Amino acid sequence: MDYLSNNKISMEESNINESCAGKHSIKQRGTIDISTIKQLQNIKNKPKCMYYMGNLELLNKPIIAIVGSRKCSKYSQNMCKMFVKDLVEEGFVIASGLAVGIDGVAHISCLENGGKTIAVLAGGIDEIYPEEHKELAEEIIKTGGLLISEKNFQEKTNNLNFPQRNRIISAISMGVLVIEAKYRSGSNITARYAIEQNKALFTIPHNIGTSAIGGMKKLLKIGAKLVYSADEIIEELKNKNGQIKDKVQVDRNQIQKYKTKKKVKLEENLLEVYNAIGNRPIDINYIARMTKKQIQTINYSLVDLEIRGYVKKLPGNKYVINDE
Amino acid sequence: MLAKRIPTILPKLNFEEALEVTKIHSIEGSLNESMPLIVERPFRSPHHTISKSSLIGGGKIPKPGEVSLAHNGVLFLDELPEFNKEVLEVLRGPIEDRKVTLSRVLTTITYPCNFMLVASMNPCMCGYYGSDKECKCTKESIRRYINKISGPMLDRIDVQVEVNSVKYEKLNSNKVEETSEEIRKRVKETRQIQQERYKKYKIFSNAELTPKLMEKYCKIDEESKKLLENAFDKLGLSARAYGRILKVARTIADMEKSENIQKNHILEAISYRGLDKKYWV
Repeated sequence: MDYLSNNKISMEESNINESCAGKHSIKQRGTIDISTIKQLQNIKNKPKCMYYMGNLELLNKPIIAIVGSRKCSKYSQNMCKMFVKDLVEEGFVIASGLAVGIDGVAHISCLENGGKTIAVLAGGIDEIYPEEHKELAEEIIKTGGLLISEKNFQEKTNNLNFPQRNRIISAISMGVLVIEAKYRSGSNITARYAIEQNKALFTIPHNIGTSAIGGMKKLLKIGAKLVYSADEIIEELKNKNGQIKDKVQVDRNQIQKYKTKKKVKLEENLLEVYNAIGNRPIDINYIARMTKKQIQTINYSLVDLEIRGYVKKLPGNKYVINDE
Repeated sequence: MLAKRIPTILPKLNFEEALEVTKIHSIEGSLNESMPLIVERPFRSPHHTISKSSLIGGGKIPKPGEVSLAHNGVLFLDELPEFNKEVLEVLRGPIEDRKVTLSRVLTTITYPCNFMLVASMNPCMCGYYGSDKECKCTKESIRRYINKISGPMLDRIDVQVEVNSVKYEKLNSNKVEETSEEIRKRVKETRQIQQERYKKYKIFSNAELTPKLMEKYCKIDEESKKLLENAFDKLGLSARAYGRILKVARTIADMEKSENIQKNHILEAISYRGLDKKYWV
């Protein structure tokens, strides 16, 4: 979550987005009239009452839910970013659960790509859980997104609420994409709800040998479709639901605002090291082989690059490009 | 194994130091006839179940603790997070002051404890965080594990290095590595440079520099200043770390026999601050 803390965006700045939030003012909050939300009509255990904050109109847009593990690999994070980017560009709203891990990545990269996102909370809207996503929740509201919950505003969450909340995530969405789920996990519960509610269920390939594979197999068993690009998801949704209507425009201003990637202007020697590093964590020996430089000089360059915010050091003496 | 070798690269005890060490060990009662004078630098590695008073000293009439027994030598704490948190915190004072004053009803005694603290730890509970094998710990448990060592304590550790697991082929290779004796020669040279420089101030090493002397001997140019400033923002270093980084940079400069601290020396010193939170979890 360093990303958000480093790039605090003030309230004034976010006014540009008010237009995108439609007729609803960005601070709007209240109770949802369940009978007006058609997605919630035919589900088992229909919620009695729901509360919201933000742009309620998003519920009428095409929504895709992306959920996944709290503890996720770099691969899953990157894949999540890739799918979100493409889906947002296609005009989808991204829904998730505001948890750490994949949920957070989905929300954040949705914002970064100028999209609108919905967070379905397990607790009250004024009691954001987890703590570290408080700022993210604010950003979601500021960019014309939506927070919804079955719990009253000040109500705190407990463990039982999470599985229950998952049925709402799948209910409001056209389809659910599960990225990295353990064999027994909340994401798998969401997936089960998706099948129960006759929604399209997707998952992506994972590596054999990681703990994500068990969950993936389970998903495939209950009827998930294995996809490798956002296009496949869109294709499937079209087959299932016909033409996708009410698409959301990508907000270019929003993209600009979140774009923090500086143009790389580096000295010759630093650039060589920088270019050797990619999105896959690599260690210093690898960089040395690529650049044919002394380990010591590379070490100096790496610290310099790290301080200037171009690369990030990971545990295990590995380095990646800092794309935050 | 690495830590145990540290005394072998430290310069030998001189006569005064040897006497001091012997005195302390004599009070503790561990001298024997075959070893009336201690000439080797002590290496103490107490088990992690150690109590506060056995670490810093104590008793009705206080006896020296492990910190004093490690005087002029090395205090090695293996598996640092396993130590009782309160026990670790009592080390803060002795590390800074190089002496420890024990007050009891019967008497008050001050023992010297000029030791080098060496500690080791795993990255997480399962030990695989950051390695090629999959780590089974949750983010929260990794944070809990690393938080067992308080910020102020980490701050006082100047050189923090991540050591990756060694591949089997390397364990078995016949390649001749540098011997301790060769390294010791370099250490000795560096120490001599420092002793020469601080002759008139009655101190021996960079570690003992006062803020005033640091102004004089740890001058850095504008570029390096900017670099340090950036580092503090980006890497979230503490103010206490500032002086310590400069001292380490001074030592690196001495090792390379450079009169002034260069940018690269600062960079290297900063790179030894790996655990200073931010990037870990």
